[in-house]
Amino acid sequence: MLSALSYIVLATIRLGTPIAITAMGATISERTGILNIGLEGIMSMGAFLAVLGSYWTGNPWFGVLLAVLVGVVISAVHGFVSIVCGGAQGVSSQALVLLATGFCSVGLQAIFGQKGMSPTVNTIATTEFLRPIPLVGNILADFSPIVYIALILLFVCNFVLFKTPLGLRMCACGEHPRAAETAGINVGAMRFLGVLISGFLGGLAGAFLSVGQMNLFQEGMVAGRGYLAMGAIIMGRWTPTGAFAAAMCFGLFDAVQLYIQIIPNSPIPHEFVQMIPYVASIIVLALTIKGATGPAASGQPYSKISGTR
Amino acid sequence: MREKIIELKGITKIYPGVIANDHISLDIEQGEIHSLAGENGAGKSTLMGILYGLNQPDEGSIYLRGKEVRFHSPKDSIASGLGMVHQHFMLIPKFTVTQNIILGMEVGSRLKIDYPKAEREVRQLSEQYGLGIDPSAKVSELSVTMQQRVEILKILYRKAEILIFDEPTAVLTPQEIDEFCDILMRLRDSGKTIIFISHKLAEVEKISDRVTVIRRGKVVCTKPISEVNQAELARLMVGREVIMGGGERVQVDNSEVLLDLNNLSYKTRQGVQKLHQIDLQLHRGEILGIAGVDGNGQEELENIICGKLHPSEGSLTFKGEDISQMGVKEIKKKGVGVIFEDRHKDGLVLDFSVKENLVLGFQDQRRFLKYGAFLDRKKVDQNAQKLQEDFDIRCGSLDDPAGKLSGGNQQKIIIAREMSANPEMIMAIQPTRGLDMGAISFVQEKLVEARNAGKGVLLFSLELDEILQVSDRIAVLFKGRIVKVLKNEGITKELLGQYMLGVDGEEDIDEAVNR
Repeated sequence: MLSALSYIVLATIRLGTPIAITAMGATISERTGILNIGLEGIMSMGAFLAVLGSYWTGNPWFGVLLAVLVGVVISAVHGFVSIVCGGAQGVSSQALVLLATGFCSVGLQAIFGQKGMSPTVNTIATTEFLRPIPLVGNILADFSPIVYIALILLFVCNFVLFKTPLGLRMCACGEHPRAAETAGINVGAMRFLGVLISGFLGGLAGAFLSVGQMNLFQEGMVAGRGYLAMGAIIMGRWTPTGAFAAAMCFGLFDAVQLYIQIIPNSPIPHEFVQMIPYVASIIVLALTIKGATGPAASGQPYSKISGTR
Repeated sequence: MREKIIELKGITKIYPGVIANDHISLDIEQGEIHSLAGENGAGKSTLMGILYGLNQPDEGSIYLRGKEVRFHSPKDSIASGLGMVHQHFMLIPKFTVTQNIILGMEVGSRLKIDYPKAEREVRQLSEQYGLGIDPSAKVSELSVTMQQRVEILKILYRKAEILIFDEPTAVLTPQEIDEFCDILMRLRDSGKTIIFISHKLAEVEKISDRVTVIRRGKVVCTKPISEVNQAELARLMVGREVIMGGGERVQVDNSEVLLDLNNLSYKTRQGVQKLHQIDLQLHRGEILGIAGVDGNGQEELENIICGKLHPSEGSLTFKGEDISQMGVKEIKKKGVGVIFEDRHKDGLVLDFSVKENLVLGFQDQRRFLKYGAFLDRKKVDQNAQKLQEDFDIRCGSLDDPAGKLSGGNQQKIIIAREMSANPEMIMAIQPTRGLDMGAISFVQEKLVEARNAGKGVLLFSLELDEILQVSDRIAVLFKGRIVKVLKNEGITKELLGQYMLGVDGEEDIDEAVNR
């Protein structure tokens, strides 16, 4: 019984972390008023580029660097369209998903000459320097360093958003950009910063999927986690802590599903079991979505001349 | 004479099709309350936007304490000691008072906001000017008056010496206005200079030291307030003698009953009786005013007549035909025009152009169609041009969205549209709410014009003055009953006020119940 519990706890952390990282970034982006429904795409790009970096240099950390860079670059495209040009945010960010899907499958062919998945590469699946700690050392070391980075990021995101002048200004842009403008704040710059942060963290989460957890890139490996992250934002009421907790909740469903699958001679068809995380997410969201109101001006383009609208 | 703190010289601002400011020159003295009076759309707000750096003038210059300045954005003007309280508050509801006030110039280090210190500063400022604001309250939990005070605090916090208020009293109740005026006077007494934009003359007279009247983008005059009275200001603002009441009434044959409500009652789905046995007749060639304190059944009565609701009991006929079960569109077709209370919600589609709004609701009528199926742009344009002339709708272009127009001009669109269908009866619900004097007298004239043409006008209004000025007969609605129907001859406001509170009418109710 204990082994079942520990299996599920450990798996929850592993499975929840990428959703949590992405959701925290997107929370910040939405707080500044920019909706980013292209998280799925940013994560796939991150996952692909991380493998590529590791493949080229043999150093998975270089892959992580590439992953966050590509996250920033493609979310800058979204920022340009939605902030500078005032385009529809939903459309522009959804385009990132299409871009990523195409880019990754073409990239697999062009670079590795393979369909569907990449060759295996060096990974950062463990945190060896924690192993000497007595009692729990072996357990702690079995997590990727990115898990610990996520915990640090949780603290940083909370602090930036709620304690610093920068965070106050960013939130103001998502609530009432015209008021922010009259207070002398550069709304466009704040919003751009929000989108780039979202891209950065989305890329990092993608890297975790490929080099932090597995050792290769596989088409479709993000498997809807980008969309789950969006649910986590709502469930977490647009706070980094809330989003983190919600993501872990989704991670738990996934862990339970995995555990049931490995029970020998299970009578339930595995297709049903695989539905668990998604169905559970829908139910939990439906139960918790009531009364959730996001930043008032989220998703609304803003121009100095005509304001929102 | 006191020092001139601001001088505007020859400010001109031209928007496509409209000269908003036409060589406006004006000076503001240190430590005075200077009112800018003018009708909606006269150019007051544009002028203040230019002074505050929101807009750039096409011509002219601004002098601050004798030195020429140019404000490229509010940032510049704030740095020079200006502050503006906007008509629509620039507050973030989810933030606390303190967060709203310090936004953009936070206290503490770059890394961490020192909230305790910020709250102390805000509290101290609030006490200094007697504003009574709790710095830790959330703005969304504050009343409108308090929110306005937060706005004032916001600019005081930014060390403003010159305070601009853009129509600050539009959102306040009469009692709140008195308190607000006290605050302004306290601010002046502590040495601040105040520019006060308003078209409400009572307040202008009460608090100003000097007043500048602006009409159609030009300065009419600047005078010490002691030298003018309200009536004169009104004349200067509108440009002619303002007569309320809609002008000349001709004798018309009013024997025919148009709308007939007989023993009409209405109960909500929850079983609340909103209207009790209403008997009311509207004749041709009369204006029937419905007086009453808000919430005494007006809304239900309006909705039943226009077809949004159906009566639970009793009959409702128009020209002898039963319309009690008809929908909005059918009733409209029968010849009932409605001027709705909420221009933005019910009357207009704000994002649509003026000319589109001028055909709304009639867009499927033959007169706007080509081949009986497609909108005929030419006819829509012609219709718009004609109505614009007849009803003096002032806008840059007929293609502008209706939301860009002033309230008075928006109301003109609705009236023009409803009248253009040549209805036999008009139901006007608070048709002059939020309008300035020129626009009010225009609306009233149009209603009387319709009456003189032999139409029936049913006027719902919460303003007793308006009811008394315009109506031929007055019906008083109290707790869902018509408690009195009077000829509008020799009735005083006080008497009408009593009826509206149920006094004296009570006997009739008792009788009705006992019967």
